[in-house]
Amino acid sequence: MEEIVKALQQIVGAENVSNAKPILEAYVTRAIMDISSKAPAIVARPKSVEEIQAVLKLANEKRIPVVPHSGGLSGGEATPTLEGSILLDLRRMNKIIEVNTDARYIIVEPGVTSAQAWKHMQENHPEYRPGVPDGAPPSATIMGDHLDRGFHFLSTKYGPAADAVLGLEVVLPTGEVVRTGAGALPTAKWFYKWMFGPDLTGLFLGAQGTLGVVTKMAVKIYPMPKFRDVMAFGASNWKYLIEPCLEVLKTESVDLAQGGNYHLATTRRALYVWPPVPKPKFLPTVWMNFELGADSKEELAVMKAKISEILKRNQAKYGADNVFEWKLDIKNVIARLTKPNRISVPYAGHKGGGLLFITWYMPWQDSGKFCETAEKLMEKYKVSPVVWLAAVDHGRQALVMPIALFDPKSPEEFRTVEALDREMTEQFLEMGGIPYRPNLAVHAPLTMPKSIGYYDLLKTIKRAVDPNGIMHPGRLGLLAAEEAKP
Amino acid sequence: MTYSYLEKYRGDAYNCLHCRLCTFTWAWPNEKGVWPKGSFQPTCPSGEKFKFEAHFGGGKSWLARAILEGKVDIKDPALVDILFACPTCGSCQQQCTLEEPEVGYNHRIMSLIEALRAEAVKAGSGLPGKQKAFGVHIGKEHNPYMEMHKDRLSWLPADLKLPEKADNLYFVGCTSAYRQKELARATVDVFRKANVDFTVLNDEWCCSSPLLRTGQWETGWVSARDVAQHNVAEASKTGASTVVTTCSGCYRTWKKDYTEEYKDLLNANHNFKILHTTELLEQRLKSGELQPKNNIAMRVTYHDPCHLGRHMGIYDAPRNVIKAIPGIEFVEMPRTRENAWCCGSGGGVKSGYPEWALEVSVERIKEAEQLDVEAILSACPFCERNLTDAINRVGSKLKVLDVVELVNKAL
Repeated sequence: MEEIVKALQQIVGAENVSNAKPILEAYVTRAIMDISSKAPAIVARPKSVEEIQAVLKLANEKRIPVVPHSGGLSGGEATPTLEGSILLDLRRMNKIIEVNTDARYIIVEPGVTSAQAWKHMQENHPEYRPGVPDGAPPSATIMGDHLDRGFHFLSTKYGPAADAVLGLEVVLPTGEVVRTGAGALPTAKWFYKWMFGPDLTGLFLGAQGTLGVVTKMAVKIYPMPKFRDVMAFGASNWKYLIEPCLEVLKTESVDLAQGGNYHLATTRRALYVWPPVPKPKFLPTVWMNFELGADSKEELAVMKAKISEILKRNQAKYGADNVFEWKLDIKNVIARLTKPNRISVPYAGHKGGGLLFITWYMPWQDSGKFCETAEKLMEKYKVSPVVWLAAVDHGRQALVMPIALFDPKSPEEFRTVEALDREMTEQFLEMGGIPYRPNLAVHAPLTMPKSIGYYDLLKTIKRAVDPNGIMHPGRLGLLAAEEAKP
Repeated sequence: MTYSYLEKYRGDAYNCLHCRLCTFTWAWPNEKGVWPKGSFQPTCPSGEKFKFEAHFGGGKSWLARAILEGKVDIKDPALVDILFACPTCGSCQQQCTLEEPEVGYNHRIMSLIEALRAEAVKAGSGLPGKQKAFGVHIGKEHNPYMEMHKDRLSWLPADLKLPEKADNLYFVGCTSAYRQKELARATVDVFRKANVDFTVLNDEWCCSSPLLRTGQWETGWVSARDVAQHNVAEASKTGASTVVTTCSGCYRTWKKDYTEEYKDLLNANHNFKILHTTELLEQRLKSGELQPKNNIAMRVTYHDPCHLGRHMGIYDAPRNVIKAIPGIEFVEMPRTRENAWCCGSGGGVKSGYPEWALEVSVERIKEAEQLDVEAILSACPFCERNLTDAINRVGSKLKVLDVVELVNKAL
């Protein structure tokens, strides 16, 4: 290993490489995406595409796994680190390369954070805003969120963050540089995600670092509305929430629709108790926020009136006690409309810092059943039944995210959460859901082999692009090439 | 291996979600959603310098877990810079626990870092640069500056006769006594002009802050407990009800460490009221006992000392005093109050990593220079010292003054 450390020092500079145990352990997180991560063997901090090329060539020669890490964040550190690997900490590459307010895109390097992009736009192009994640802190990167098909604060209106990607620059596992989308031609701007032929941009989105290291990304920016507000529906049960919300979502006017059950709020403010605290009077059992934006007060008023009208119709159908407007206080409105937002940290207080996101996609109209199932299973395992629900692409899809909060000091609770994840995955697969970010231990092995040709094609692509299987082996069920050979 | 010091903070180590809010400043946007200039700015001197995750607050928390779980040896040489190259400015904790009062979330990163240091020292590791030397010297001569204890009061004007007993005890502190003597003299001048009934200790020792901050809690060469207990015993002899300090480090130590944070370790609890000089001056201004008359036409800014601001929550008193001086034009730096960038000298950094301490301070000087001010004020001799060194290093035209020195000019 010392020989590899020396070679890496030659490439990225001695001060940017370490194999010291204390340095490596500080990159580990057993939460969010994976609760079984282990420390890498080396961390390297490249500054340029050329340095990344050299690192990947070295890794190929020595057959060492490589895990890329832009900011690493979801609600907290989420990159699953891998034992024996080189962790590429890409945060030194943090330039905003271009903002084009006519074609409406921004080109960023991996380390550009949401805060940095937001502030850059506010100071230089205040009429536009970048798609920053909602549910990850401002230290999360634009690239990480978009690359991982994340949920950003306009995902209800424009779809998963990945849908906003217009082109990539990628260092392939073998060291070649490729650009996708219009930017593949040196004379063209990065204005269009398609090049001739198929969508090669999409190949790398959601790949979890298994197919290369993305070094530049063009993503859409969006107009900043002059007026914004939040309305919220509360309901006595999921079934009374889903249908009225779908009607609202079908108007295709909502910027962001997200909500959850009351546990989502109470666990932010309570230390662990079992059974969970009873529902406080001021909270509905379940709710959904609708964030709205418009260029005039009148336009905003029309939007709100339309939503109120939908609510009234549904109250006539389900009863005003079962679905109602939940009047948010000004503090809540400000908190919701503050972008980028602070989030997640308070959950650490609930059981002492452990949390696993078990996030699934499904059609919106099925989401209530998923939420109910999640709650029942969590109660069965005595895990606080915290469930978050959001609408994507105007409710064509839903994201259901049970947040399993646990005590990271307890090995038993790790086992409990893994067992919960496994049973929930089995049931959710039966119900027709798909895992958002398949983890190594449960989701990938249970899901991938069931796909119709998809997993085989993915493995074929992986072998072609990464013949030595160095890039983040194990993720998506894609093992190192040697192990994966039929 | 068991870690008697670290164990107390086990919960804090595990409380970290590793979200990296600890890596930048948070200043809320205005009602139109515009973020102020001081938001999302670098806030961790250690992380900004050394860059690897372990040097930020979150990384240190995860490292503490690894140590508790036996994955990292407390004596690993790579730990020394991670643990000790940190001014313990507390900004990581500030950013992390912004919602703490509302949500009951507890993440005492600073305490965690100091406990990790104490474990390293106990195991025979740590203490870079001159840190051990000053610890040894505190044991012998009761100050960290390699000075003789007999010279501790040499700054006192020869004509000044102080009573043995008084209502207020001015605890001078080592930096004012040996390095920033003009500040000690200015403090005494101001007290006399404001008719403050005060005295000083004939046998004042270091407050123990340098020992607590660098993990030299109980060693073969010095005992923080002995030092703290000596001071409390000496102070009791004066009959004072209030201990006043110009040093923010002494202030924190007397007010928080003796009575709360290290109450068990030091066994030096007391009933003194502890005031920072700026708090005393603010009180006297409000009561009309202090009336600055001289016009001082100067555009100034104020640097919040970490030990006074983030550690103790004193932000307004120094500002109110500054604003009460006729002719002063006061402007804030972008990173101010809770978000203030550290001067770089605290936590043992000035003695352990003197060059880097200056680098950190130069960044603060440059921030102040952008405001086109004549002077940067502070309320801590240790900050004053390092900011002055930084000014000398880069040839800045800025002046550094303590708030007390400014008040003295105005009286």
